[in-house]
Amino acid sequence: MSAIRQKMLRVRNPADLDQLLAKPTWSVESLLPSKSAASESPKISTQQLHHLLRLSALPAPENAEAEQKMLDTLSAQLHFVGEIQQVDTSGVTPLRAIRDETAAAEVEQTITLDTLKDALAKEQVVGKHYKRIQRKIDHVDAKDVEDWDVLGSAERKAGRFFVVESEMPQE
Amino acid sequence: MLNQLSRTGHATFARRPYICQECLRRLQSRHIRSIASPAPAWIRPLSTASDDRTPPKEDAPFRKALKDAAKKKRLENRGKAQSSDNPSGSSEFKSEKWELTVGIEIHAELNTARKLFSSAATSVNDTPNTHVALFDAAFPGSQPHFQRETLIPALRAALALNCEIQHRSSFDRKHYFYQDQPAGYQITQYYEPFARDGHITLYPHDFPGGVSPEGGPVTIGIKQVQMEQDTAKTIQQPPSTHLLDFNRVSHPLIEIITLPQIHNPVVAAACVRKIQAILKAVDAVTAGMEMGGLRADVNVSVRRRDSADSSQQSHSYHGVTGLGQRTEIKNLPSIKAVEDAIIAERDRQIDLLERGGIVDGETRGFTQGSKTTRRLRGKEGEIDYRYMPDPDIAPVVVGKDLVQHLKSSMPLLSDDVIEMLVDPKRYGLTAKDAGTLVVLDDGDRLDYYLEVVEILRRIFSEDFAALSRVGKMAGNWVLMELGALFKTTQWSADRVSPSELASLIAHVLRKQITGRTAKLLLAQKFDGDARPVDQIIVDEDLLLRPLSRDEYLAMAQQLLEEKSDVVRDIVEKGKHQKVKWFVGQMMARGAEGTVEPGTAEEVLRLLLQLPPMEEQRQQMKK
Amino acid sequence: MSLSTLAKECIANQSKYTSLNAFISLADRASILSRVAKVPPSRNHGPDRLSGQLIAVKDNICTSDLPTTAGSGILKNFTSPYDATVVKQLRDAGAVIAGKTNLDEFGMGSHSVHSFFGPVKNTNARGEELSAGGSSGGSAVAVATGQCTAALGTDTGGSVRLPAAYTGVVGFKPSYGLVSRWGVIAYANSLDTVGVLAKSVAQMRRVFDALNFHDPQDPTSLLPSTRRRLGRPVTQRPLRIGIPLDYNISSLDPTVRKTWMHALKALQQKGHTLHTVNLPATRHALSAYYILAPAEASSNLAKYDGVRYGSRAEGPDGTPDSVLFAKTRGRGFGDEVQRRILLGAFSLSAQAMDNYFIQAQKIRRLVQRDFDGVFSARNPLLTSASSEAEGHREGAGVDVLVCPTAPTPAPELAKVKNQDPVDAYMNDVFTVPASLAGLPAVSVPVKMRETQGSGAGIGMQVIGQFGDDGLVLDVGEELMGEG
Repeated sequence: MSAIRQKMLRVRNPADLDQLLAKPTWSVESLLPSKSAASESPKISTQQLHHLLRLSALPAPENAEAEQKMLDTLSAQLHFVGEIQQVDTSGVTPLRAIRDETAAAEVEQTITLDTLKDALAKEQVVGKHYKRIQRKIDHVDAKDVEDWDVLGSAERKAGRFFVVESEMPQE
Repeated sequence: MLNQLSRTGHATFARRPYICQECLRRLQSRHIRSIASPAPAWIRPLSTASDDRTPPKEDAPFRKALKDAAKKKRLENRGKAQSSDNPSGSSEFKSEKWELTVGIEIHAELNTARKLFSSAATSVNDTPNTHVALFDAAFPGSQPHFQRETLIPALRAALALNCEIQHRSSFDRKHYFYQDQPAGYQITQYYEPFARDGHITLYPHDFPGGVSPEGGPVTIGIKQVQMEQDTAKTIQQPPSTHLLDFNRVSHPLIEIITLPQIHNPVVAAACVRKIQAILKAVDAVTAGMEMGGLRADVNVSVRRRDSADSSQQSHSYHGVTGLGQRTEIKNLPSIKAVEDAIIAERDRQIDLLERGGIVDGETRGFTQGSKTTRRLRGKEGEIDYRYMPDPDIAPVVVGKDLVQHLKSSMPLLSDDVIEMLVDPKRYGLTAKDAGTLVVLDDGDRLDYYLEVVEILRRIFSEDFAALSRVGKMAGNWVLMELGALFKTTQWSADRVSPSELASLIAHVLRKQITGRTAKLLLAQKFDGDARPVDQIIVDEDLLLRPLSRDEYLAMAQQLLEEKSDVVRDIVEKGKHQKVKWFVGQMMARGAEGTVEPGTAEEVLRLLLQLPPMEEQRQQMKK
Repeated sequence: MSLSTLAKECIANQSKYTSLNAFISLADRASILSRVAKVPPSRNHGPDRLSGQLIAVKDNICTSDLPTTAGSGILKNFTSPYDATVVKQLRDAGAVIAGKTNLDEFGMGSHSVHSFFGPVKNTNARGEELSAGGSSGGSAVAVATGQCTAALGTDTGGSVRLPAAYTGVVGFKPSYGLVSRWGVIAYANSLDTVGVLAKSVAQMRRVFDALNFHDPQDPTSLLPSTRRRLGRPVTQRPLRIGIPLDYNISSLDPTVRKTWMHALKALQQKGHTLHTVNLPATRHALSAYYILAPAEASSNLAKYDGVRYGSRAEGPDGTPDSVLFAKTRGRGFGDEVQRRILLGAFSLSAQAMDNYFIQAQKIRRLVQRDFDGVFSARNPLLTSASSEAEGHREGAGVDVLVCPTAPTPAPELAKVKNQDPVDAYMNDVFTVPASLAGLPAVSVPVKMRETQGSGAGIGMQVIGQFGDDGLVLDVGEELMGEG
């Protein structure tokens, strides 16, 4: 979708500039949950909090006071960010990441027969009557990515293995 | 005639006792006198005349008792089979009232040289933690490198399952903490998988016994096929230690998700079996379920057919509506486990619902050999995977030319091959044998079989009678005979070359050697005898000669002299059916295939001075 | 000044300003000096333009010869098995790594106070302790106090520009995808950008030029074909300067507003023209950022469990009563990090996903559109047409935007230490929009004649269209009176 060009105001005089910037356009504090509007903040229940902590593999709060603090913070955060829900974004494609979204880039990134010709060349056809494709199992040289001390940074290990001590029921 | 029997003819049977010709003549004359008289009672058709066939009147209750006992045993056995199938009530009653719905999710390890998101090598049982890139171990600052070659087996698998390949697809992170998941998330394709909307059709030949439970072919929809990473391998050291090997992390997997359109455990099992076979046929996977290369999860729900209580049946999965609450049974390691687990879970749910309970949406497990499923994760352990598109990985765009090339170079799929093999005009194998042949030794056995048949067809190109038998015979020799020899050895097409086997079979077809001889020859070749079959036959003088008339007479004579009591039965008591017994004896005594039953009977009747078979039949008709 | 003298001065400053806690680890002095001594004296041009220069690296960028802690207890003893690409590139250009600088843990924070190794301190001429800004506060202070000639930082929502503004140095965030992130510990992948801090724009450029290359190791590194389409060979002068009125917020400090006007007038005096522009999505950018960044962070930090690297809590990793890895993570992560992980988990959770995360991504698209609507150059990521072809459209947009970097000058350190977590978010209001759109932005210290000598200057930001990094730096130079 092409950008819509705005009408822009040329500022010719320095005095005009003073005037223009004299009046603020909005207040960022409006995003904060004011003390009085605290009741409008989204309510998070203790259950929800504990669920989120579990999902994040973070420990449960040590006492009621710590838990209340967590709930308050989360509530304030949600109030701060929640205002975007009022914005009408119908028909807008989400922007997931900054990357080349042009048609030319898509063509360049397309995986074609040519892209994979080396891999396909590593296959052979076996069989005289019942022809089947088989990938030739050659030795793969991956030294450039495999040659480093994989276990060298681990505090605990057992021989060539990493170790986890878990008494939890297994799946 | 007997007097014409030469001493030399007797030589082969020298060990046999001598029959007094005078006694034989006396017996025969009595016999002939009996025949001369008008049809005595004992000449009537055996069914009424034979005393020892109809049970004596006094034994009737006993016989009935026997029959009753047999019937009871049959019913008991069926009942037992049903109860192992279904503890409370017969399965027919249950399936009338309840409909089972099953969806399957299969995870298969792809046949690739490198991993999905790093260029480290894939491996099976190498030294632990030797094929691990920085990203595989989720080291800080490392990023995914999508290996495009991994698309090749993935695309082939999806095409073989009749899917639509999506032009664009993307990868998402599925978050959960577990010791085998180093990044705390698995990279999968949740929102935009690379293939959608496929299907698989199960034909009667795909089912045990060649019978489809639904009468005809069953088509099951495939919702999507997605690519994802495999996890680390864990070695448990009880009580609570887990040793981790990251070689397997990021090994490419495809996940195949069927629509919940399966209504029978047998169909589910056949579906898994067939998907596995298809994946192997297109070289998409290296190892099957038995090697851990393929795992199945099933989703099971039940609903009442009369939908009396629709509140319990308001669930919809993958667009299929009106279903009951489903449970998931994970990590089934074999096809039998798939079938057994579905049966166990179906029964558990039905029992629960019939007692007024509610089925919880939960994840369960099943151990082979057990009767029930067990809960793995309950509601409080419910995991929210928080699927998030991976911001580091660019969308995958697949070119049409690549898809077209893979489609056109697809190997023949099993259905087409089986159709060809069971066609009586082409190979004439049974569905069971065709099915076996297609999967044995990754298709090498089939290739061998086809070569053997081709050679035989050339040999017998003018002989239509032989041509019609070639397919079946070759099938028997390749599957049964060679199969038995290769039971503990890895298949090799060079052990007994196709031309040698064809030569062997040709000899049998031409009745030049007996079947038994051929089997021995095969074993000899298998054990390493380098001589061609032709030569061995000549060297060891294995060629069959058909018996001469004199040899028939001599053999018959010998036999009659040995079994004078049976002769008496025939001649004096008129038990002519025992001539057949003599025929059988002659066939048993002669080298296999050398004694023609027709000729044998003719000779025997002659010696016993009975009318030839034709005449006897005509007499009986009167 | 000879390179050795420069190096010795830096090292002396490192000792002098130890209390500012700008560094977590320092390179061995003897080896630095010997390496600098080996550089041939005539090297002023050519590829080795960084020869013998001491450059500090933020401690969330991997080095194999010095620890990489990300300012966190969970990595306090971690040494990376490999070097980040940018570290290799600096070395290849002849630079010497001075040490690893202090930061907010994992890049999360606006004042560099959330560090396992203690806060970074910034002092003004009166000796008052101020916030160094965050999260690249250590790098900014190191540059400001002459402990190195330049430093690398990372900018996710303003983490290079904000500390530059608070410490009075130049802080540059290039267009997203130009500088490799291989070896940069991820906070939010789609926002993280390696940036440079230096005292002058010229010095900045020398460092940036050594890093501005496609790296196949980084899957988000812009392709060579895309790079060829970036920037303009010649930009028509005079420039059209945009004034984003939505940055004129009510809490804008009067000094900052005055400096802003001063900077604009200065540009006007040089012959450039000024134009007001509207970027309405600015009001939602901050909220969108604080949904997206913590969400990606909660995902990126899931790998820290102590199993393959990092500090591990004693005892079992999981019991039937505790969650697997929770003890290690609770112990190893600071409070701010845990707060953001929780917020992130919420935004991604099934019930919230559409309303928060995806909505935020849509807002992000609106922010990008807003910018595209005011710049005369088209966004090269969305169209293949080169900007040259759009020549006839000139007059319909601006070349760059000029606005403050932060709403206030550096606040007192004492005040921010006990600040409500959410209050701190507001500091990022001017830096976050350029992050969301991946645009190049530089913060340069601008001194008004009245305040000259009494302060480090107020950070003014120049924002350009995607790929216009050169132009942005040019205008930055003009603002500093360099050009």
